[in-house]
Amino acid sequence: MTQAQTPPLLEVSQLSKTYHLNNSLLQRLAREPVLALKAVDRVSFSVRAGETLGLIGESGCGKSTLARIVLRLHEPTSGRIVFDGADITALPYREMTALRRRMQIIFQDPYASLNPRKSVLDIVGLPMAIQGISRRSEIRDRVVAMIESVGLKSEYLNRFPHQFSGGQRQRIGIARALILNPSLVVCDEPVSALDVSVQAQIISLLKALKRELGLTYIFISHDIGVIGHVSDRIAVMYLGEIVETGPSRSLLTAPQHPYTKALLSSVPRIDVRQKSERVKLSGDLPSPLSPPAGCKFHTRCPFVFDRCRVEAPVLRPRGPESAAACHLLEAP
Amino acid sequence: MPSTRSSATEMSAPLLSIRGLKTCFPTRAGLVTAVDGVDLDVYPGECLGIVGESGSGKSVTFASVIGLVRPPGYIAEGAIHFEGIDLRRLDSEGWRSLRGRDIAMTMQDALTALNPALRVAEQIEEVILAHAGGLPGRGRREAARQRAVEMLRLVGIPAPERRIDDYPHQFSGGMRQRIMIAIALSCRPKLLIADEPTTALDVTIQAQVLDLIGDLRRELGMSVVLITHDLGVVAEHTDRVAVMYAGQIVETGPTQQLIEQPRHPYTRGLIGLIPRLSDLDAPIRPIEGRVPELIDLGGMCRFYERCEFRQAACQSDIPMNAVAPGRQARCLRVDEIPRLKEVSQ
Repeated sequence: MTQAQTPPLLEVSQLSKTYHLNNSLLQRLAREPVLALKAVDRVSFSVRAGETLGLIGESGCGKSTLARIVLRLHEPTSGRIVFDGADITALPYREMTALRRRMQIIFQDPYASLNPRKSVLDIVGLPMAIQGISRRSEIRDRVVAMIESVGLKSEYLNRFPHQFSGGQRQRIGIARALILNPSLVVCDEPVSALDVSVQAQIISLLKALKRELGLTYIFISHDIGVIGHVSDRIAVMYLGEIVETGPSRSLLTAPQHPYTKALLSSVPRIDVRQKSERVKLSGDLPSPLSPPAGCKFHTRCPFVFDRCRVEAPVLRPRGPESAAACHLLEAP
Repeated sequence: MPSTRSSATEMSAPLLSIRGLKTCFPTRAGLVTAVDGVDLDVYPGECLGIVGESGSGKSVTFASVIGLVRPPGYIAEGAIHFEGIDLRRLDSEGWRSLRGRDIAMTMQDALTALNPALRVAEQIEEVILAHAGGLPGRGRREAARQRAVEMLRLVGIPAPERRIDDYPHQFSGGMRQRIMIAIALSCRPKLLIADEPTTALDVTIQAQVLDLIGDLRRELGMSVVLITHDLGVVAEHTDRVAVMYAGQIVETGPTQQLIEQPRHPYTRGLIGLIPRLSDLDAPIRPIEGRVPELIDLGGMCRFYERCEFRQAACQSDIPMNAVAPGRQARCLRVDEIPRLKEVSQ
């Protein structure tokens, strides 16, 4: 594999994010206990230039928080983020702003993520203005080129978000993310607010843009079909931790972690006959405020045994480029 | 797993029968015909799936059935019969005794459908008491509460005796959806209309809720209409399916057959754009274009603009054409569709 030799574009190690709740002045004066919510818990992964890393997991598992920390839209509590060989974990604000030229994000909700009072030209041109490009004509030319490459007409330049459908709005969001010619783009559930036929259009667009512009994606979705389709590698998250990673094909065809198995077998599929036996989970996701001791998945795991309740498993290599965190897999 | 319904079921009288339903909404842009000429039957004990994208009319069809079309919207034409009762002639008294008891509906968003200011107990007991024919006069409340606890246990809420006194916000999304199902089922309806019951839920919870609806359907012998945009859900949980597009049904048939060999270009398109886990290299093929505005349509196939297989003759009103017993599609080329190749992109 030649890929393995290229240095990763992004490398994240032992990254954690803890939110403290009950931490208002009043609550502190009343000596209420501060609750710690570990949204992301010692997560390590890397992304090579040109690949798509898919992040899957159920709501509240920390996938969006993780992506935002990587871009430093939220500050990590601990851990290290290395982007293109440079440690950016503590990069000062001004330098970080300059670096954002190279790392961008596409948001989930095409309705909430566009300012309703701004025209397409203003919305898509804003990142350029922030980066200090102030010539109107230059901004205009680049915005026109960009919106055409995402499949919108240049006549739309002076229209406002409410004049567009959900799919078109998402195209505007994509144009805004790509206008600065970034290397890394985080796609945070970019199609989950859209109808299926529009979803397919946007996914095709994102794949085509990736090829043309040589982008690297971190693609977040709860839709495993979508993730399987766009990703080269996949990481599965549960309650703030990565429980399994691996190349898409092997992870989807031969999942190792019981949670991945359950997740995959729960997806309703039209090819019912090719489906594997359902791994049924009982119960809901535990509260992240008081995650279970030992393996965080043990309360729902159908294969739980004594060791799972006391000792947290670590992510260990399980084949080429694959890793999983489960005691079951370590038994001789 | 869907039970295989024999044609014997098809023969029995339908529980719900819709003919020529047309529901309109006046808007500033003009009269929107959200549902235009829908014919549909629901048979006793079956699970019928209704698939379509937003704006296809799937929810409005069943809002019309249960008398919940929000004004200024109105039913312009058509007949709706439930066990022989003409639902369009029902007065409010008639509705009160029918809704909740014989036909129940769960809404898409459990958080907004439940009253945040009332304990779960009150919300379930209210329905039971409203239809409490079988409850004794004395101790009715106590009996209603017991029944409410039983319902919560049935839908899998742990420690229902305790949790029944909680408020909706104290439950997770999956649990709230279960509570809504418990309310809908508390009077053992003959027909449950489940409008996107799992759209807001994660897949592992979605699987649990859909299994639950299936189990209860078999236990209580009721019919279920499952409204969804997800063909995977339809494939795994329904016996028959109707595909809607732009206010019309474009194809109906037994689920397995319809998915394996769709006869309408739209159905075929929908199936083609689902990413398959069993074949990661299969390209997903988007359906280009957009759903037409539902104003002043007519005179042509509604899928015409987006259809790969259109012909001049498609610029006319297309009727439902029989494909096989129990299978119909609104396309002039029904018989050719399985053989036609996509235009490569």
